[in-house]
Amino acid sequence: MRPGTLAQPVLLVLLTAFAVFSLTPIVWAVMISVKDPIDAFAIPPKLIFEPNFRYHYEIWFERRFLEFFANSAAIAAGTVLISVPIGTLAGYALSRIRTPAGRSFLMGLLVVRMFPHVLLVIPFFVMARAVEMIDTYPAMIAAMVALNQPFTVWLMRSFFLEIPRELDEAATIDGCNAWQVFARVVLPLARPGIVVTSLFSLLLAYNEFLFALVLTGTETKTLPVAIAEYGGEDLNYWSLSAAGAIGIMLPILAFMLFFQRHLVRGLTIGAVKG
Amino acid sequence: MAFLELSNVAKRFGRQEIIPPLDLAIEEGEFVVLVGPSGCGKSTIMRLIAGLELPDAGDIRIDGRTVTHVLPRDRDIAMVFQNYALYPDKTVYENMAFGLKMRKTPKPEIERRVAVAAAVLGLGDYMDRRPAQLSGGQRQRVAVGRAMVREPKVFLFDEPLSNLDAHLRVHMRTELVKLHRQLRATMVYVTHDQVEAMTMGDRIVVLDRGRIRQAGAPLELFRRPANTFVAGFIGAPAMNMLAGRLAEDGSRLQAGAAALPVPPAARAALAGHAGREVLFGIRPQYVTLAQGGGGAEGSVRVRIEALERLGTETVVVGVADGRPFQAVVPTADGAGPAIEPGSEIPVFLPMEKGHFFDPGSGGTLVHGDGAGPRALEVAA
Repeated sequence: MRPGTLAQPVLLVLLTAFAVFSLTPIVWAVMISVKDPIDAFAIPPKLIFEPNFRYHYEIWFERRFLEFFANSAAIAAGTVLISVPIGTLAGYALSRIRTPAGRSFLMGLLVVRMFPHVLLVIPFFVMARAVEMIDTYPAMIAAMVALNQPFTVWLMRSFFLEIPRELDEAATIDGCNAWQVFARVVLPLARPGIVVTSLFSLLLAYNEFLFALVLTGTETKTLPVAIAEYGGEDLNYWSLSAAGAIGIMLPILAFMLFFQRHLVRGLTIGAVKG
Repeated sequence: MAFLELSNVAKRFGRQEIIPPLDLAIEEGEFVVLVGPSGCGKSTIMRLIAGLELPDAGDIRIDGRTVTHVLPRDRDIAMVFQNYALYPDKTVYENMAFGLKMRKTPKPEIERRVAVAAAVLGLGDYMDRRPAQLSGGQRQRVAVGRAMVREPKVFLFDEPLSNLDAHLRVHMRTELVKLHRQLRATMVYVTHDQVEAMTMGDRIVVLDRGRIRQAGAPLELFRRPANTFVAGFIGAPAMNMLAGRLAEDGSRLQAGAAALPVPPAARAALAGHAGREVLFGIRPQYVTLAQGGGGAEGSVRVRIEALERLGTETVVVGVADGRPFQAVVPTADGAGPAIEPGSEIPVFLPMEKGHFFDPGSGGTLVHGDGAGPRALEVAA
């Protein structure tokens, strides 16, 4: 018997169980978002019911969801547009220049990343207020870039480490200067890494609640803050919240589906022996 | 002045001295193979020539121009890497054309040169493929083509065949030698495989811990090793070494129980070592099975540990006088003496085909035919 023949069905069962465990809350939220509140909490749960999209309509068109989504999107996009290029350049440099100083810098970034956000939010608030930037996009984008940067640098570095150094050297001998090596040879190969890093960076900024709660206001309120504010108004709360949660998720889902092709790695196969 | 010259070039990595001050001169059109075991510094020398590493001391000159601190792209060299280093997102054509494009070569000229190289290397049908769609041998040829189209002053090959299977390696070896004959270009080739070195190079440079132990034509190194390192590294199976004491009159070498006659031609050179320990080396190919029961002068007894039957030849792997000993003999057809693992057989050593070495320094004292070590052979 081949090793793993028995392990395969076991693994399949475990993975199926994990998938069910992970997807159940989402399926449940979808169901609650299209049920009336009385049905939403019926015991036993009502699996056959007439779907009602009233709450989805309400959050998108009556409760300024589009406006909050635009705020979230602007902040997330701004964060990605600043932190990913910086992370790409720094990650490349740190993957190629391996010095004690470089390693210290990387460890420093890790420490920054591990710092509890709740301790950082107050200084950020004080600084933003001092420069009168509370409730502005730049304040929130700057905070998100600062929080995301260690992550983007580390992630991009790990992608660059997988690109053989000999490609840089071959390009150098072929006549490229340092920038051309990066831009014409290495960067095209790092595209899947850039897409992945952008996606994670986008998600972190898009889903941020604590900083958004403190640094945004009526002009720049983001989706997570807005949804939290729906709470406690009336009985429709759970259905509205569920519709909001699904509403937050949909753009990200669409984004991921669109970039799915780029998430598939494998361009570097064939660069080296094989 | 040589075409490619390294003068007093030294390199350290941190505290470790990789290349002690080294001199190497390569003539125009020469195919020079740098060979040595892993970690001997051969790839570092190649990277220093390419400009991928900077020397801590010394000068590198190509065609009379000092390039020690010149960028790799301005040295007019091309390099073929061990793992090919092809650009995976570019087609075969784009890979080969890239270097010329970066140098702003006119498009018709790029197309002409790529077409010529593709024809020579038999890559014409693969120009639109990407490296991942090619076999190992094809990728290797693309890497060579990428170097060829540049028409550089010096080609550098860093173990380019080591990722290929044995059959393809032999084929590509021949192809590269043919290519050198065709282009008459200066080529520096790094390998750890002494067979590659022997079959490809006009000249071989044997390296050990960053030092040149001997440089010369392949057969010269095989026939006249300058020291025990080269004697052991060049040639397969490796040269047999026996330790013994020279008789006071210099006529015999007593190696354990065996009395080996010192060839008259070599006696004068060994006069200063009379009564002292020396090493005697002889290639397994020159060893023959002794007729009769052995015990005659010039024969030693070998306890057989294994037999490697290669077809017409058999490699006898055993021990003589406590040292590993090998002999390449014709495969027995039943008429000769029976040789089986576990048995002990006498073998005859034609002493005039052997070499005498100083056991302390490892240097050659004299070759069995009386030729002395030549000063030129013992570089560094």
